[in-house]
Amino acid sequence: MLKKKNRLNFEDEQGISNSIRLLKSEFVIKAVKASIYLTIIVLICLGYIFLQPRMTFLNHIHLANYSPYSIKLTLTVGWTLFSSSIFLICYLIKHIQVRLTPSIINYMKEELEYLGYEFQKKYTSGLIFVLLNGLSVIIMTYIDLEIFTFNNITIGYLFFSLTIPIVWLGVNDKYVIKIKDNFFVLFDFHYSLRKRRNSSSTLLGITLSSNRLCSRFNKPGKHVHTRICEIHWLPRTGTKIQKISPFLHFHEFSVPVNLQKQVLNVILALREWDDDYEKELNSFNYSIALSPKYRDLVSIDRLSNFFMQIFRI
Amino acid sequence: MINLFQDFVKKYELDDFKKKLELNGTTKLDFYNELNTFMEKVCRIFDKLTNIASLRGGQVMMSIAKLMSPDAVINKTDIKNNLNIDRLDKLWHAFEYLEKENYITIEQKTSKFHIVKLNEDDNPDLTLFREIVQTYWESPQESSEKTKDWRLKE
Repeated sequence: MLKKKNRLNFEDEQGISNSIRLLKSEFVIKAVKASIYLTIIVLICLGYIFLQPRMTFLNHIHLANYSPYSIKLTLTVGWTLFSSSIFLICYLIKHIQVRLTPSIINYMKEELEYLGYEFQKKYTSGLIFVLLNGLSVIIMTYIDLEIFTFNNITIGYLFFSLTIPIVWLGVNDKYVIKIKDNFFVLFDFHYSLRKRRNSSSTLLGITLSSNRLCSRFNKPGKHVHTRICEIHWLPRTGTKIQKISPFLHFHEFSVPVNLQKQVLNVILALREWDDDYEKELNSFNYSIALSPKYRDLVSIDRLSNFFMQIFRI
Repeated sequence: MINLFQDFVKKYELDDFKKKLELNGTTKLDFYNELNTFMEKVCRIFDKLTNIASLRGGQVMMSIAKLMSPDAVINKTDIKNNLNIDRLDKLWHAFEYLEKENYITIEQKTSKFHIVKLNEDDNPDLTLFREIVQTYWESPQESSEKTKDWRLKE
């Protein structure tokens, strides 16, 4: 539980400057801690690389005292260390980059709880990493035991077992509020640590993004999306990654003082989407049924919706 | 859809004083709907602008306008609830500022019970503001209720 003096207040100039000072100090502590962990991981890796030839005890693990077999697990240990280190380094870099500190998490929890939503951490990359790399470790053990050898498939799998969790970590691991089945809002928090040249205040912002709505090539979906964005004054594009995303989302920018209002704006937009999309789709399908030249368009829509269902986050 | 007020004036030839404005059936309905759309847009502009400033003053004014009626007694807690805000202290600076600028009047009945009103006597434009807000603005409390209903709906 945070002490009352650590409670953020963005209601007046004094409160804003105190809150920013507190956030900065918390962020520095968080960055220092993450840097220490990073250094320890790098030192362990370097230690393994330099000491590996001499660490015969790691290369020869006896199954039992009386076992006549000795198993060489060089690749297994090496891969486990390598993949874990790479993933942890990426995880810690992400941890530094995501500028959420205990105070701001607490502030957002309080604000959103009042609206009736739970502010949750949605970090699933660790689980994906453990699952994919568990299989990698088994594969490496079999290679160490000379049951099978390296081939293109195993190399490909090893590559993807490491890159998929890292990409997932960068794109999908965020804080979220779940609204109802298939509807949620993701949060990206950012503030500049340095003061801007022409401004005395430090930018402190929260980018809100909804779940995927439909494919960009979905004509009725795009029509409904544009209309709702216009009514609710929602920006059409979000972050750099979302700009190149083939799917449509709702985006909103907020500062702490109007967080509740902006979250409500996105939720109202999602509500309208839920009400209007089906209607628009039905009327579009009806018009397509009347004109066969649009059949190709429907197949693209169906294909993109199928992929969206598979990769739904 | 007409986006400019000038287009609206042109469509119905409101600036042509030689011609009579004749509205009947669907024309009258279109006229009324388009006028309503304009008012909704004006209200949305109020809402968005009042959310840009760091102080909650604009939102407090909209809330007072929404709640005001000849027989209504509005206190600070009503405004807090109407704006769907958890703590009254978040509005202190806004009340202070608006009272100082003479946009609202605060009558202290007791130490904890304050009656708040828009100062329409000194600012006659606020009467139109109140009318537009009362008719077209959806308060955060109403929006929140709307989203709750939607969440509960299967």
